[in-house]
Amino acid sequence: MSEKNSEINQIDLRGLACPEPVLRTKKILDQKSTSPVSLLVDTDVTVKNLERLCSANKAQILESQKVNDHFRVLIAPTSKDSSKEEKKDGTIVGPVVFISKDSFGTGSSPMDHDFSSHLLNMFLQSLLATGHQIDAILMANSGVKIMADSAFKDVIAAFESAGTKVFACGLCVEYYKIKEQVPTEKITNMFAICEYLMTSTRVIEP
Amino acid sequence: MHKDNKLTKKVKAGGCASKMSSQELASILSVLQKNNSENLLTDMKNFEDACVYKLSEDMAVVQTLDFFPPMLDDPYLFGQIAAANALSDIYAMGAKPTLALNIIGFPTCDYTQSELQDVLHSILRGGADKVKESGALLAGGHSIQLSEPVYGLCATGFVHPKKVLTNGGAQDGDSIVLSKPVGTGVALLGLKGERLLKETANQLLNNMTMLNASALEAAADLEVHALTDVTGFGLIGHLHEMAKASGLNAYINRTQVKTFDQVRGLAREGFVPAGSYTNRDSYSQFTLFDKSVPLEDEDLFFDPQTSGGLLFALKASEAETLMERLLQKGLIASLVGKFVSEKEIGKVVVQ
Repeated sequence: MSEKNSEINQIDLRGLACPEPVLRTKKILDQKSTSPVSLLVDTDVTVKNLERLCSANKAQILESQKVNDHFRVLIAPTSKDSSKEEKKDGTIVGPVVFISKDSFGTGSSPMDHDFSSHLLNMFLQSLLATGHQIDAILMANSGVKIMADSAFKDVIAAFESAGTKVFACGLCVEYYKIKEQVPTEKITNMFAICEYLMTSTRVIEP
Repeated sequence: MHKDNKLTKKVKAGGCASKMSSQELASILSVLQKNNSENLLTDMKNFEDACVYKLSEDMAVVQTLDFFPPMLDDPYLFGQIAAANALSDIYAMGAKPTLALNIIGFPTCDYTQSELQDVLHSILRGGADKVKESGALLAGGHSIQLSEPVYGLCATGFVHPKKVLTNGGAQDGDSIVLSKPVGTGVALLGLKGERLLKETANQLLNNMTMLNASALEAAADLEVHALTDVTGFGLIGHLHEMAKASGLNAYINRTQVKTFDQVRGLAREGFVPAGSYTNRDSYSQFTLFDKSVPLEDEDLFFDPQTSGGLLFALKASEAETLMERLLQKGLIASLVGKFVSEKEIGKVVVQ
């Protein structure tokens, strides 16, 4: 790393094989410094990968230009408020609802199940009525059972027509033997659910 | 072996990422004269996986040649992957491999005699084990000194001329089934950058070394209309070739396409191989992305696949049966979408 007084840090990443330039830039972004850094890289493929890295890390590319046989990329590792609901290339999703059981809240005894299920239904209807955009409803464990519960049919359909995606954990659907009642395009796996949870701005768990 | 003498050290692009771009290839191949034998059942312009020549009314020979530089440092795994990838071209024509020849190039001067023995033995043993598993015979080969290591097979199989499956032949409304997850290119960069969890690395290596024999077998009694394997041109590229050869358009339902664990996150962080960008350049003119499709899915659907899965076109009801069987076998198969007859042809629409 060469550092000139009062000038922008310049880091030479030329001659490094992919994915090394991305890994090194990630380290720079992780330092949470706010001063811009100028990177020298060999190929436009690396430039494009740095664009993706910066977008995923809420950093900014201020400038990228070809200089002779290489590229100079100026990045600003800004630390914006991550709770802000901001949709960049669809890489960050808005609020999602994560339903991991077929009842509302915790602590209800099996005897109260009907009431608790009714509450969950009311919760979903109220949430819909707020008019706030929900990007996805993710179901796992006994939460998937609401897909086969006729009482929930209308509210789920209403969410879908409001643009909410609905996904149920495939393993759970099989375990509770409700595969017939869940359309295949709504079946997903735990990994995809985790991806949603990690990239959404807010996770709501009833 | 010296740490600085890693198998991938001199490699610019390993595995199917080393493939020439389809645009380059098309322009180079255009100078070759078209063959006019009625016994040659495949047409070079369709970018088929292998050539098929009719020997008699009930016998056709299928031939393919496939080799590439290593995409990882373990020579035995590299041998297995290269062989599985080469043999896949035989399965992708609906045939079974019978004979295989090794083709190997190696920078012999960079290694001591004993290192060289170790590495070459391991690569060839990996290949031989896969050939054996396929039921074919390894019958010879050819080796040269080269600045960059490469390995693969020239493979031959046989099939009934009426049972040959090509890129063409898919029908309006056919479902599309893929027998392996996508994202080997992205995952391999993750492996190189030591970002893969052990489970993901195992998933990747299991799939890349897996023969496509069992996927083809699962469809043996089904009416498959068109077949290929997903390799260097990525899911979109190969779907485009299929759609074009069949006179249809392909629709991908992005949430249905199974990818390797972790790769969506890795792609988002810029672990995207050069081959994915090359494929994007070649195929974006034929591709329509819905606004809802995130960039990482685009990158993954353009991602060059090393030893990828078989891509089937068959009737929706048959596709369900095939999916059930593939999942039963433990394959990470997906029902990726469907073919539709429209005004234009060769489009790939991702929703």
